[in-house]
Amino acid sequence: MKTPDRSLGRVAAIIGMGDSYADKQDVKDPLQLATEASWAAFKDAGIRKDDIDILLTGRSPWADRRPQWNNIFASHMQMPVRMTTEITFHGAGVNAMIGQAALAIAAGVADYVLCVQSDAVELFIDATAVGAATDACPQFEFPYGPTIPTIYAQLACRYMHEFGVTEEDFAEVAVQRQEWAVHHPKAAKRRHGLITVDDVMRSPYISSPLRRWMCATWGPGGTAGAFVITSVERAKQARRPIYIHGFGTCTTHEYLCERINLRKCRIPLGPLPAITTTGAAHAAREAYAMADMTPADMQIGALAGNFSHTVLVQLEDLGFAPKGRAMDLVRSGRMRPGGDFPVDTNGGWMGFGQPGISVAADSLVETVRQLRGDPLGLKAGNSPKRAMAYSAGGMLACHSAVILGTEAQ
Amino acid sequence: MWEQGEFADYTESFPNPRVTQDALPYWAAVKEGRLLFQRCPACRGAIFPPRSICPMCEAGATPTWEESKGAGSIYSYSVVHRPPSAVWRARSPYTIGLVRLDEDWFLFTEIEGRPEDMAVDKRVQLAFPEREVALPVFRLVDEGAPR
Repeated sequence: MKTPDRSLGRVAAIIGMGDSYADKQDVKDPLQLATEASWAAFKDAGIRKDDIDILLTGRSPWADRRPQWNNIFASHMQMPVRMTTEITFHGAGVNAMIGQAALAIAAGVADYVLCVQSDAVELFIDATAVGAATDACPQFEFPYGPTIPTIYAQLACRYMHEFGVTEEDFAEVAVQRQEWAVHHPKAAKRRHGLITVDDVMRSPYISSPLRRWMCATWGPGGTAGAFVITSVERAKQARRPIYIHGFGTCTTHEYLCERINLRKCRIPLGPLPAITTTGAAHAAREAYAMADMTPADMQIGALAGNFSHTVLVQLEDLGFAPKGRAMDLVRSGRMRPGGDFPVDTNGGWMGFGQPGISVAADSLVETVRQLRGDPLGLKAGNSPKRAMAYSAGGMLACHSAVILGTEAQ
Repeated sequence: MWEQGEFADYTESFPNPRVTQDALPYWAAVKEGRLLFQRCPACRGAIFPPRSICPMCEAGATPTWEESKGAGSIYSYSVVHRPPSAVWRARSPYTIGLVRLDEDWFLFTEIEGRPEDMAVDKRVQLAFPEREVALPVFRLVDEGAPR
């Protein structure tokens, strides 16, 4: 596979970020959320709406399933653009957009690119049935009655079996996510306060071995994140630029029944058949190579851990722990509040919650806010300058890693 | 705004498989109580889900159909305690897992048996229980029973 040109890690920066939130007392739909976040991003970037050349969105929000949602949004904004498209990388879309925006800047086809994602599942739909109907194979999986946790639990089962990890280990992961979430004003699980391993182990099974506290929850009601990307040259004039040092993406399948039957893959996934190594490893490798950095250079991280075990698998695939050993890093306490490698500082997908497809935008918002020293919740204690923002989409399917930093390389 | 009714079929009755052209022989066999998979005539690899051209080698060969003996082992499993919709609630808890067939291919399927008896690597055998929707499922093999 062709290796992306390393110079791409020195061409673009985020100069504007906007976020927007909704709840039952302040109901907003995905269009309203995206509009609010985009205008905040324009203001933050110091540009006008009409400066945007390219608009990227993710796939249509769960709470507004109209196709061509990207174009619906451009129209809603009365914002004619040269090009607009959905980056349909499932939840990994928004991170993948950052890379695509950098490519457009490098190619010289845009001065400013707007990347935006919003959703508001809890306020508009019942996602339990719909979720599995969307992400399970409609032919070979969905007729058996799985939920999304059931599909992800297959990896949890294998991860425990192959590496001797226990349910108590999964509980500890949940405890640490909650330590950050209780400080974030928008986190869905904030109201529950701090929890213990016993609390997690007493919570009921959703789909074994996953108990309620080991799963992400729906909510907060609605969120949006918007990002304005421009060239490094232009960014030097900006107020608070965040430089894009590297990006990498990888998709290996759509449905789990396809992934487990995968026998040959040009992307290294370990000996096949297996599911405990994901395409995140490849996405991260490309991002590190482009940034000319290693996992040890990362000072803060944002994962896409919708369940305890995916937090662990991602820490390994992103290079922060050897395969099967992420619990050592969890137990070290380095990722907790006050630690020297804070991870999921908004509580992550488990603690902050999943408002829908915008969950990755929330993590990216959190990363930019922490790099700027301006978080809504607890501030990372180590004043991070370099960040790994990773997102996952689908059933372990799509992976997108972005390395961001406060200093131009 | 998107209408919830779009997925009404999935929440009010057991869903039928959305059959693809490639898989028509598979589902025809299921109705007869048989389990089929494909094999590549060039690389000899087992192929599933069904395809019109082998995706594993560069031969571009049309796969041939084979009948599975229906014997395999549990690769992974999960007991569903919170089902996706009302129709599943009466049947829960039920177990869904990946079964590795002895012909070396995998099926995402239901595994019948007591939840506490489930374990990775346990042997399972194909079954076609009477259901609203005909599907191949698996049952734990009683290792102690006479063969």
